[in-house]
Amino acid sequence: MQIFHRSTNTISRATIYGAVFLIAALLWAVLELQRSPYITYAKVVRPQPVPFSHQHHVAGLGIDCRYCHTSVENSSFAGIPPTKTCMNCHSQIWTGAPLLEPVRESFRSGKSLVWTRVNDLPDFVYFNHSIHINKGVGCNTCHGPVDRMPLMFNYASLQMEWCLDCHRDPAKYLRPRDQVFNMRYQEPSTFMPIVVEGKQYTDQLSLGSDLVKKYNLRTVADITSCSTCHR
Amino acid sequence: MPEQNGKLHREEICPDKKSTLDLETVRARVAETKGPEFWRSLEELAGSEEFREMMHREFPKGASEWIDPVSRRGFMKLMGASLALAGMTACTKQPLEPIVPYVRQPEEVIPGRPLFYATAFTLGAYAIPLLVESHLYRPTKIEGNDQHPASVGGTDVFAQASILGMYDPDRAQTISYLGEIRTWGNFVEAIRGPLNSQKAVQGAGLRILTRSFSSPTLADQLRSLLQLYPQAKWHVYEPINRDNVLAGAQMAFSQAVETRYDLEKADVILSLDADFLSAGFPGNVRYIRDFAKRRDPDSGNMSRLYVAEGTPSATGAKADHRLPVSASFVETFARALAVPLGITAGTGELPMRF
Repeated sequence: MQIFHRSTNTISRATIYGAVFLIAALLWAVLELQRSPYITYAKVVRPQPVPFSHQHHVAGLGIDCRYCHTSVENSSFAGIPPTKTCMNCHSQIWTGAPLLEPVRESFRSGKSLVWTRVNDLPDFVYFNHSIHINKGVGCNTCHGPVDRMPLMFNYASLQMEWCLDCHRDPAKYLRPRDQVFNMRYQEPSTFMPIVVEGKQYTDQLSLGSDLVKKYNLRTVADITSCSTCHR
Repeated sequence: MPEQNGKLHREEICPDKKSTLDLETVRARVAETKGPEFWRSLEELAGSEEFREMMHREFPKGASEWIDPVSRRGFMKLMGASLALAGMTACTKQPLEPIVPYVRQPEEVIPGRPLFYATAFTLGAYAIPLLVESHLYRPTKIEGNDQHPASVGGTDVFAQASILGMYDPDRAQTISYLGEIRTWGNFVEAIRGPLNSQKAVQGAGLRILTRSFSSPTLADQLRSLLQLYPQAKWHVYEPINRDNVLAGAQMAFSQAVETRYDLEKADVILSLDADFLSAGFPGNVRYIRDFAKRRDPDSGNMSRLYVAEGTPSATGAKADHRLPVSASFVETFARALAVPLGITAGTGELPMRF
């Protein structure tokens, strides 16, 4: 005599077969979630003590990145400006603005302003700014159009797959060193070529591969090895 | 199949089995179960009295395991799953981190690049020049100062370890009085009264205790203090000191001088219980470098080191010829050795050593 009804044959076959697809779908959903702005905070504005507008200061006033982020060319850490840098100008302009009261308070009391870190890598990753600047990676390649951000947000997910996208082929993203801080740089095209050392380039890959040689970049095998970043 | 009252007896299916199996009960049990129910035989599922009795007889402990909420098996399952899933702790949302700049950033500091400060490490009265690598004003690593002739870039183990003294949790961070935190102002106020009263007796009641030091600045400060309080006494105590060495120098040279050796020029070195290559010997980092310069066997003028010592030491390990002698015998040995070296006259015979 049978304990189980005959239909359990079909049900068990269907569920075992379908479970594989179900698990795959769930896994896909989790991985998509992991890439989403919910997890990575990409393009999500983070709360800050003062609503600092890069758009106004960079695009509006023309201040270069390096005026505030001083150690970007010679250190691993780009640095954010001390309160004094803000007060260099704001002790003379907008001196009474209520928006700037936290800055003035910080300068008066000697207590630092506590900003929320926007471009934040996990602690097990070592990132060195100066090497990227010196090899021709532009500011807005990674940080996006900062000069058009009224409030700062992360342009990219900063996940490893995003970093590897460039590390596996730097020629896709390199630009001449003098254009690194140019927020309005356009990649070379037929109607707007880039001239480097007399030679004209009309597409990014040819410019990039020449710059890889010119700026003495290490091989792809080197820069994608684990210990480059996970020291 | 033969049926009797709706119950099927096992004897009919398997004639040699005598036990009864109540299939109706089994069906009823299966029908009312909601979750997974594991059973190894139909008798168990039936839950008959005979089965329970058989289990109790056969597996006394196993019988009670049935109702145990967390069995050994369950425990192993839980721990295995926890271990496997422990790696998933990284799959969390990264929390928002603060980033805190200076209010007024000092000019010379570049965050991410170290600053090197020239300083010295003192052990007793002897100093080793150092460069301390510091990150954002936190000292992290001791390096030697290779521009200084006293060490030519070398450091010894005590100098390297001294970085830990900076972060020693027992290191006093504040002034305290009877265990309670006080300010520098409190201390000055407290000491002002007694010091003023000492002025009347020219400091006869004042005693200063220091360790050995060779700092000219500190010596000058103490000297000016002693001029203010001429009757005050300054005591020096150093647990491991070179008082005997200085006393010997006094005897030999009629003043307490420190000897400096130029081991680079020495062809033959005799060490009488002097561990000049180890940490703690004044100038050892320089002596190590100079000694090493003359130890190339291919150069043709390799130096030779004789050591007569009691405790095994690094110098003794480097010696070409080592004589183990007890510390009390070193003087006798030296006197006997002086004869063939032409320093003194005598027989040069060594008595039996112990």
